Amino acid sequence: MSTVRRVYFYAVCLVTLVLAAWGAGLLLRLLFDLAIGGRPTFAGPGYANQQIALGLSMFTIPAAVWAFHWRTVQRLGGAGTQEAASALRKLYLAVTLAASSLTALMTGVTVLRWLLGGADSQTFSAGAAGAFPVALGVWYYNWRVNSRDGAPSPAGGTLLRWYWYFVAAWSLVLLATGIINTLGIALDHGIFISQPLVQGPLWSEPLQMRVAAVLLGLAWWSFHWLYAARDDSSSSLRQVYCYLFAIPGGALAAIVSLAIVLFRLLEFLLGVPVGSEPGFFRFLSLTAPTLLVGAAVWTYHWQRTKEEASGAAERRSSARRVYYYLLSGIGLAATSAGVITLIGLLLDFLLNSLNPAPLLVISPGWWKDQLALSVVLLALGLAAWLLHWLRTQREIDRSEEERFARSRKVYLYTFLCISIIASVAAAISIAYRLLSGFLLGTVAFDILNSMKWSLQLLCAAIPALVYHAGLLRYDIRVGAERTRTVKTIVVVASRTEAGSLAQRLERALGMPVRAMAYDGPGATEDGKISEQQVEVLAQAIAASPHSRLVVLLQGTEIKAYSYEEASRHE
Amino acid sequence: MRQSHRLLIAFGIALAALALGAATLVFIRGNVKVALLPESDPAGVVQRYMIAIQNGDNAGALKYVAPVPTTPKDGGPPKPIPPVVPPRRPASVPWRATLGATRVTGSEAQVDVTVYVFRSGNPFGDAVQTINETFFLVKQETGWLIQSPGPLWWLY
Repeated sequence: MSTVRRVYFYAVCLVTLVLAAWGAGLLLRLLFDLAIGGRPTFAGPGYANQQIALGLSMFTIPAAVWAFHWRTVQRLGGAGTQEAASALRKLYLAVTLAASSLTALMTGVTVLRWLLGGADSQTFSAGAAGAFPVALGVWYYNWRVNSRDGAPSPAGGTLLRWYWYFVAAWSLVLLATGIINTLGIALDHGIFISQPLVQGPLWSEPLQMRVAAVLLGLAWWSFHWLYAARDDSSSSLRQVYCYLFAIPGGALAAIVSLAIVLFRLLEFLLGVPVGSEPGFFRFLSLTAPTLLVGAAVWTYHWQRTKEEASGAAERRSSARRVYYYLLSGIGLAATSAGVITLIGLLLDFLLNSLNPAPLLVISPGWWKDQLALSVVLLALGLAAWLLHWLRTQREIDRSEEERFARSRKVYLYTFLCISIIASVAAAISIAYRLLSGFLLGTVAFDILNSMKWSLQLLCAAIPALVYHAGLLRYDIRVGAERTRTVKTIVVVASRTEAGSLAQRLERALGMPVRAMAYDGPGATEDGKISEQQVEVLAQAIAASPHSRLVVLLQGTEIKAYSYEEASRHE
Repeated sequence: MRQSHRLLIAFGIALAALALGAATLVFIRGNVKVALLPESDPAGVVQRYMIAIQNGDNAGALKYVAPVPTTPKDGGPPKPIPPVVPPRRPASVPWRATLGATRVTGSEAQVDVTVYVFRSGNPFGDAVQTINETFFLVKQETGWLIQSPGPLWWLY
């Protein structure tokens, strides 16, 4: 069957499946509404009949069209066939699985909340109750189809991975926010509101909703992360999920909530009046659970990636490198904010002593609050920045190759760009205020007062500019900006050895290596290749002037050849 | 030692010195005493009004506010007295105010005040917000009383 014809079949299957599921959901909604719903949801006597007519039409016609097309597709795609492993089929399955899984998750939360709340007909949502079984059924059927298909093609496998990690990320967010809010509501109710004027029961609708989100979020996340993606430690997408979503997301949540906790505690310790107000510690009801959950997500995924860190060195180190620069960036941004606040405090003192206007009123915590904020931002920002930034610097000490990394260039140029723009903007503002003040004969105090924010910005931007410009200058001097020849290396070996040899070669070379496995008559098991052989091969490849190399392994003999597109002329 | 490491150490020392200096200033010179202005001056009335608000003394603040006539001159329905102190307790926002120009014209006066409010919510912007406010006062038998502004929106 031609590709265009296959696209047609899968597109029709997808659209008709969505319509049929919608129709089934409408019919179930009507059924649940009549059977359980306690509210008069019907506008008139004809409303139910209209809904039945619409539901039946939307279900039966698309379902018939879907059944016809799906049967044709299934005849092509028996287990283990090329069609069953194809990227197009996996795209259809990945989209269907992701959409039905997320619909089941979100509607399931509403249904479970209703059950946890005692199945009161007044709070029953017929829409969610109708959509949940349909979405779950569609998901289960397609999951079984995918399981029976056998191993997917590489492109098909990638598409399925997108589904696993997208749903895992979604459900992880639902689980994390659910735990934070559940603990927050419980702490607020039990500890921080000690003498409420009016207080409802703890086991109320908001708490039931959060508990339902925790239970289903946990189930969905466990299934997709712990079960579906359990043997996927070699994929790049998994590294992206861990290093660019779960680890930085957890780290950011933990760092921000820790900053708020420390700032508030410092306010309390410094004797700022706000600290003695009743209910002051109520901020802990949300920040403490966020800190705990963020740290748990961060450390769990960090530990998991460390355990899985063997093989495919280049791809892994790229993702890890991005993580280090990302965390360095967050730390440096917080440090800059701390410097801005600290300079603001010092300028405030200076302006206060120069101000000829009498002070009318001042809050007792005016200075201490600013000091607390700057200390917390500086302490946390510097800790996060130095911890991750110095690690990247140590990597450079080990291998100068790190200077060529794209993530390093993105990091350095981003901060150079931000610090240059901030410095220029602040310098323009200062120059303008100085000149206009001088020409208009404004009082020196007023000029200084109007420049305060620009001075704060300039004091934070200039050191960042000097430091990053210096680093970039050095990187350029040692050749980091020179165009490097990217080599395409392909390992061709038996199915048992191709992947392993490619991984070992990748580690030795520090660049990606593709693996191709040959099969069929004449294919024999290759012998084990020693580390010394891999080392010699890596040196030969590194020294080769050619940019395209194919490594052939037969038995225990390895040969590397350069290759290029052959001319078709006689 | 690399030049970048030397720069880092220099920045670190400078930052530590600044933080130490700021902490010393806060603890040694942070307890600023406010000199009370005469209550007979419009500026003194504004000062007492703001001190009362800062202390959460709503009743005390209302003493410096001119009462709004409950029955308007055109005979319409009585107007409610505008709230002087915001309904939400404002004490959690640290703020200070300095006096600007005072203009007195017969039984009316205007007092310019600059208010600085500290908000820790956005660490990447200026944490201190500056508001220029003009208080309008009227002289009555008991002394100067504030006519406007009513609600102090900048404390929200």
